[in-house]
Amino acid sequence: MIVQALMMIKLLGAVLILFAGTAIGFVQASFYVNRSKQLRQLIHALQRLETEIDYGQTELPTALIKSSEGIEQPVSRLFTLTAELLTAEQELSMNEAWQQAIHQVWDVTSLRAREKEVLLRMGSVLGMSNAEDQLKHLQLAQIQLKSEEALAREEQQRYANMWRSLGTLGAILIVILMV
Amino acid sequence: MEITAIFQIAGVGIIIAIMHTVLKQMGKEDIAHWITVLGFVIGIFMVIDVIAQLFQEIKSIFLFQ
Repeated sequence: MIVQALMMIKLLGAVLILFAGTAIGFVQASFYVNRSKQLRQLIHALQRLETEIDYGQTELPTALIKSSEGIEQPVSRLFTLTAELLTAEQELSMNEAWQQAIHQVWDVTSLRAREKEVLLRMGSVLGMSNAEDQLKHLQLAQIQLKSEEALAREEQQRYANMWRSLGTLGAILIVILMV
Repeated sequence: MEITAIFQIAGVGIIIAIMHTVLKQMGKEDIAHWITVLGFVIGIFMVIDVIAQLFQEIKSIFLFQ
């Protein structure tokens, strides 16, 4: 009886380790998947912002909120938070609000330092000069983000699968070692 | 001597081999080689007791009769 119970406990532990290892692999893989997805959303939002500035001539807070519509949570938060900061604290410049929003939202997103740099540089121009200059910088940021996105997609194809299989394999290895 | 040790080492070997191929396919040759070395070390640690036993046997047979 006791031997059987011990076997059951061992089996349970093995299953738990397998589950945990696979989960770790999938979490790591989801980082790559999320990164390219969020980059795409960011590009869409910037395109929307561009049209808002170009044709709508909308005020920046409204334009930001409009461009965040139809985009999923972590990325859209960046835009809505900037708009909130801009409307709540009048003395804040667009650049400062944008920087604050980026610093607050960044840890939740799967984006990396290079995108941060691109966005910060873009934010330093937004709302500063005339529409034409802003549009140029928006387009520049989009081009940079697009090249990042192509890279991210390539990385996703390579490393997402690798992490998935490595997680499971590592878990099996640990189980074998502990038997 | 237990037969399970052999199966255990075989299992480690298979897993390490698959890990090596996966890593190599993704272009991480350096990590793949380190994984292989790690697997080798794990295997050595598994058989170290048996090897020590073997040496003791040889010693007692040939040197200290």
